[in-house]
Amino acid sequence: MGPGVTESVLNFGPASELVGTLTEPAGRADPSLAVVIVNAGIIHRAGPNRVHVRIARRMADAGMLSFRIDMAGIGDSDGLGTNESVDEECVLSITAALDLLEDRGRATRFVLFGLCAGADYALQHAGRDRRVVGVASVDPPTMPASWKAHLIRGLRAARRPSVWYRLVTGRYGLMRRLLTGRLRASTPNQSGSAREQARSALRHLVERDVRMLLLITGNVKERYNYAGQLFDLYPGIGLERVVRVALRPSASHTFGREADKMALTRDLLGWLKETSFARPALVDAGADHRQEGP
Amino acid sequence: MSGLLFGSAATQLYGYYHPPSGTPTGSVLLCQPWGTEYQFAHRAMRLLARRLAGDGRHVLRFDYSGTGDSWGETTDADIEVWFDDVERAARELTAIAGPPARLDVIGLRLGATVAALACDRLATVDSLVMWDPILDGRAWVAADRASSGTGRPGAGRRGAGRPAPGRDGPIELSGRTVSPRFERQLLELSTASTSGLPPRTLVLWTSDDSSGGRGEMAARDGVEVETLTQPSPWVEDIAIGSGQIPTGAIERILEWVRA
Repeated sequence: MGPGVTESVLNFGPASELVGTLTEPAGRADPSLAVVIVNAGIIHRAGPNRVHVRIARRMADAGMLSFRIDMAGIGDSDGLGTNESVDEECVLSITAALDLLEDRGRATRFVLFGLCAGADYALQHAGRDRRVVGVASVDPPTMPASWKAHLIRGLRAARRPSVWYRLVTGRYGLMRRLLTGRLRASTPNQSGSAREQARSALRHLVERDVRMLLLITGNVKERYNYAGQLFDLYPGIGLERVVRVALRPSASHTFGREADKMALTRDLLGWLKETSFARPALVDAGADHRQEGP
Repeated sequence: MSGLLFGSAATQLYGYYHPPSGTPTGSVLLCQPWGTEYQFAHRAMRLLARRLAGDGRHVLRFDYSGTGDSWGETTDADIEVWFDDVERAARELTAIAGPPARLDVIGLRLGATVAALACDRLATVDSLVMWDPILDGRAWVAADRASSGTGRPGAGRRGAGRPAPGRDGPIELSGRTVSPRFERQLLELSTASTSGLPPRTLVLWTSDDSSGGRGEMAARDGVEVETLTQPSPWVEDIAIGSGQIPTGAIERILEWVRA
């Protein structure tokens, strides 16, 4: 952590159930922008292999304020007691974090960072909160495979002698699975309605000019294996204009190696510095910017 | 309950204080594991803290220098400094809760070993729980190397890494980059030299880890050793980034602290 960077722990939420760590630089590159880092799955806010701490402190060194939060029921935070679903309480936690930073005059525009399930929550929240101007998502679990991704996967597999050996010796049980009707894709697919829902949500983000970074590690390369996959899945909505895709097949999903952490930090900081995020003027004056939907 | 930072501005430690329910009966300091074991065991340690607080204890769990939310890079991790951190955390707990009627210290994995070695620095510790302690640092380092395949950053695996540094460069252990000094400290880690154990010490095993030293611990006066058939919270449960919560082990620790 460079000179002048300060950290503080904030308890927040309706009854201070939630906990987050604010990392503030000595001077800010953009005083109205903050990055909110949400939990990766159920791992507390230090992040897998402490990678969230790393990126928060590197961002502060580069003049960016960040807030690493434990969403409801994760890490050091309690549940909100709303009787809502776990997913909904997580999204409400993000709202509470943005409210806190806005109320304290720290930021009016936000970039959300999420890894794994955190990526899904970040994207979900971005769709309902106009204050969000950017989303950096790493390995979002709900990202489906495209037909081309299946093809690439198959062609790659065909190059491996072990695959042919298993096929010939019946290890995959293809005939049995075909006959019993139990042959199915081993990677998640989206139903037509789910894909249409996702398409609509993404189109809404494009219309709002929300900038996105999609970073894919080697752990999901079976499912997502070429840079244009997102654009093939949801064509014609202008995603190419607002999304940057970074494929990092040598990186692990939990960033356990130093090289992985360095690559993530470089990708994220590079994107943050080079991206022109929407200015507050684009937000409708007087609108309830905190809750909305596509 | 609340998260807090304590200590001087340059070397702040992160702690989480759990106030007691009802009439306070004492204070408990929790010493965390390190590395991925800390990440996996976080939920279990939090639940243990909550249960102890529900039992009338002031509880503080904290992160050592260079870990979790505390100051420092992972390369700042230093076991000698952690002994000071244990002292600082105990002082913070006293500052929050007042002089304790009794003080219990509970450590898990490396936290158990650090707690045992740091106990004689604390004014009065009534009891110590060493939960799955690492008694043989060399065996632990070897096991971590074998499971993660890590070594020096940039060496080996392809990908975006920096060039392999020289022999004195940083080292990768348990998903973190650490200093050669820290690695040496781990390799030399042993509880054989601990002389200042509290009058009551429980060594609780919930795992099949047999890295050595169980016999040596059991032979000491005032040390009780128990083995429970319980999941080890510091081991990842499938691929969720967290371990299971061994409720039976937590109950046993509560019972020990109550006695």
